[in-house]
Amino acid sequence: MYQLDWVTQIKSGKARTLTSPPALAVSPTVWRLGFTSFFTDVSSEMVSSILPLYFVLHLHFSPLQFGILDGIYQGAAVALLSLVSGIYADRVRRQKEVATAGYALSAVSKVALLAAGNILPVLAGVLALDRIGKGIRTAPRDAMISLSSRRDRLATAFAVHRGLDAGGAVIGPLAAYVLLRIVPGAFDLVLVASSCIALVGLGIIGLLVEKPHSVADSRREMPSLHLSFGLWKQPRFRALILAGGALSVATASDGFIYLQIQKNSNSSMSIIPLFAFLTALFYVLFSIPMGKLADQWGREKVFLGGFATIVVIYGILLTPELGRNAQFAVVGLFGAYYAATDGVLAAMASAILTPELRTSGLALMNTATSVSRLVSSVLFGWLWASGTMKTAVWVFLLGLLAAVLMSAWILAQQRSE
Amino acid sequence: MNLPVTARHRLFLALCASCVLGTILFGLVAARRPRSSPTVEINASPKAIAGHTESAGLGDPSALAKLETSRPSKATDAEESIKINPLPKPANNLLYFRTTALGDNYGKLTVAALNALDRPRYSAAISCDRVHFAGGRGVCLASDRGVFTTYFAVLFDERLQPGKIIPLNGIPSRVRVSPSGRLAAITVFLSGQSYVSLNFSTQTMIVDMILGEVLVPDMEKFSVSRDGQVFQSPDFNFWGVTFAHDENRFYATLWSKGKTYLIDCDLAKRTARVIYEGVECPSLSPDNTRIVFKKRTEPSAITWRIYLLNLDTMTESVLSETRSVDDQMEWLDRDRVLYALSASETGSSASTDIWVLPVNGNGGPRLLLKGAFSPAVVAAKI
Repeated sequence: MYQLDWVTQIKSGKARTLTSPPALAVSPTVWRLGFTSFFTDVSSEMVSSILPLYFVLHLHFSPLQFGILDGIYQGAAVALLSLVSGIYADRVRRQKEVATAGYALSAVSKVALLAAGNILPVLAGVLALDRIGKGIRTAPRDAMISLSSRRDRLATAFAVHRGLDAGGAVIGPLAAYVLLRIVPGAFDLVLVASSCIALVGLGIIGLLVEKPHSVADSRREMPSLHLSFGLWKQPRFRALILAGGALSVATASDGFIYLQIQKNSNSSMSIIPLFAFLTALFYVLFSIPMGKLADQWGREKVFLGGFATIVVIYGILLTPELGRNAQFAVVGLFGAYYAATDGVLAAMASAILTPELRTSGLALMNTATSVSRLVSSVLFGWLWASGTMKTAVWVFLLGLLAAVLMSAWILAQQRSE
Repeated sequence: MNLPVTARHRLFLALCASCVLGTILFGLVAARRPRSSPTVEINASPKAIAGHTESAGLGDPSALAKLETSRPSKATDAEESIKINPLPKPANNLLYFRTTALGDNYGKLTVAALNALDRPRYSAAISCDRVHFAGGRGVCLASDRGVFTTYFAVLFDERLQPGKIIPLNGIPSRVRVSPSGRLAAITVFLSGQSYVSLNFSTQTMIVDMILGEVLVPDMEKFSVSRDGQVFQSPDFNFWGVTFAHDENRFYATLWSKGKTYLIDCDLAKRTARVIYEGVECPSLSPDNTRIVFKKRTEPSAITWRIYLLNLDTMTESVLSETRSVDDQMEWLDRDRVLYALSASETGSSASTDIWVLPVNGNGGPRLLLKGAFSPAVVAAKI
């Protein structure tokens, strides 16, 4: 399989493609964390691309059996849990262990999916486990990325990681398709392969990733809970959280954007997974250029530019009758938005957080943005249900314009002080 | 872990090797199992089915044999083509269904005389996930599995010849053809597209079978009333239609806020009226006086029992099947219904069996046919 030549490189101890090629100058730890995410994401996306079919056509489930998994409550719970795990990781100075535990939970959930058979409450629990794992690992892993990178290369480091992560979403559905093509109907083979790939990802972080030195060697006092929450009082960090939160509230979720593109271009609903796939593909393509641009030209500019892209997308969605090409242009822009914002925000936060409190700070940031996203989904859904889709898009367009201007202003204020 | 670096690298390599090896071994085992997916890939896409329509004379066995041998074949294909059973005569009671016996015919649209279920006739052109047939016209709901799976409905006739193809928005769930074959109702699941949001909703459409066109794209446009009041909510989901004799009236399930309702619908007026609660997947008896349905009995567990509702008295009674049944019943005759259950106790098998159950309390369930799914009964033309 495709891992093999990469494995040989590791074996030779050189891992030349993994250790910093001069153009990127990103530490091997970042590459390894990137590949951990890549394999974990391949594993998850393989499963999620076959899950609806597997549930309905293979296990013969009815639609409303799925209502059990209520996205919103679950999302809020996971957001809180990730905050707890971030603060805990800082207190015991064990980012690597906490992140590994998060990846382990996801790997276990893939294996458990096989064993769960068709008992729905068990299946729901298993899927929840995967999300919990994701919640736990994000902040400690991002802290490790930033602690292994030079300050002036933070955005590039995150871009490498996010690019590999999104690559998993590109390869995953393809891998599942290829397996089902070779052995038709063998959903369990996809689950077995997915478990194995998740274990490889877990193996990389567990066995090949070193603890970041700045944390491992630290003999300084353990940060208290008080200190972790005291981050809020740091004006620069607070400004960043406020900006990130406001921008996220005014950004409609992927699902809504895809649904609008689909409705606007009169395509069938079944085109939506293709949109998600193409977004990931464009994310992979744009990630590293955007990261380098952010490091050289200014992270705030690229970050706000990403949200300006969403304003453009809203504008296109408001024009009636999208052609086929226009809908793919929108998806491309959407991938560029992810490349310009996700890793760049983590880099911006890392740059102003001290190493002792970095995981807590990143966790606080993640929790703030994920709660904002939930609010955004509820708001968009409500606007859509009570009016038309156009109303919802207009409200979000104006809201996002205001949020971009406000963010530019508060971030500039902090810089000048 | 405090192992030295080289030991960790070795351990990682061992992990990778065992993972790759494990997957390959499992793949080899899986490939040797009897198939639970159509082997003939050309069956799986709407284009291929449309292609089959053009090749005339598919109905006669010789043309079919030619077709079977023309594809890259294994030795068994030749034997198989010899064994093709003729179409059963319409003078018999017929059963249309989807074959789910593991093997090369898995998923194929099939028809057999009820008194000769051991001599099924498989469709060469159509493989699908759900079938129904009545009044000389049938519908098969199918999925075209690619990297991105798409779904469609194929209309077909008594000779299993494919006709028009209608694209669908989601995974096939239920299908019913009206007694005269003029209308059909199709329910699909619209699935959340991400791993985290598995909140499915349903879309039920009504198709004009003669024109092969969609008459009602989504039942959500129907105006619903309950106890004489307007009843509306954005969370409405409709599924499981069953048609009455007059080709206008039909019953269906309406879901809102965790409750399921039986609705009595008028197609011409686009209206629906809630007449009862706790009903899923109704199926109207041939004399239009009774409805069998599945009902969730315990709120904690996801299990359904089969119930009978008398429409004159509006009284319900539980039937003698004790296993959980998640299917829309099909009436075999005045007093018996058919439904599918998984072939394995745990429900993990891709194969299903069809069972028959009396609705008048005369005895328990009996196995009718192994390796079949989605039955549709057609009474003999005398």
